Amino acid sequence: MINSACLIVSKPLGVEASALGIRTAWACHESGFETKLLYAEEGVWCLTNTPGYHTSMLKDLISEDGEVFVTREDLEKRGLTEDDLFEGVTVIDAEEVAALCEDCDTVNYF
Amino acid sequence: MPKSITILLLSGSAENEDAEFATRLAEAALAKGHKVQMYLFGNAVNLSKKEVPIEGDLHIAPRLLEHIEPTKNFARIARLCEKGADISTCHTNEHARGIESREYVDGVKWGDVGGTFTKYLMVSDVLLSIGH
Repeated sequence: MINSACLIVSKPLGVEASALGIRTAWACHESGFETKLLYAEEGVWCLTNTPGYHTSMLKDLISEDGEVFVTREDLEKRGLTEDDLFEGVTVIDAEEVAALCEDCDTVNYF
Repeated sequence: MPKSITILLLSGSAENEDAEFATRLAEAALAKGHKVQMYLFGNAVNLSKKEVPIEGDLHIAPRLLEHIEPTKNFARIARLCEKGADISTCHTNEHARGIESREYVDGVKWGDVGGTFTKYLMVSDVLLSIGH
């Protein structure tokens, strides 16, 4: 039985899959699944406090104790730092991603 | 031992072969006695609706038509439902594409991520997302 999910978003704002990722994370979290939402690759742009749906949903998720992560290396590749992100996002090293996934019953990639 | 498998499909028929792979995988899983649930998300919602063919000349070259027709998955989706697969679709993504009012392929059901998909998860042994 699935009790926990790691959802990885690699697509940026403007690509539908990135919205599907946050929608799925929100739905899982609100339904009681232990949910980890990880942003990687171009997906890191979703965390840069832009106005609109993504930021609004992510802030709601964080305010309801949802766990949101981003990989440090993908931020650095794009010239971004932790200061460019809104509060509540946990920056992790790429080598920590495997352990994050191992903690979950399922891993899905958007 | 039979498992309950949920497939989260993100691709439609035309852009790549993910939908064909997912539906063939679902057929194989059903044939092995597993339970299959499929949630059509993103462009995959296009698979949920019956075709609305035009009348008259298609203005498509025959060799191109021969290339396109086998990539369609509508019939396989209907066949999966007949065989017991539980298939539903994201009505919000349908709305985004302006197709929400169109008729579903036989057996496909209206759905939403907060209700239908999470209910699938609650009874799943395996979740597999397919699409890019």
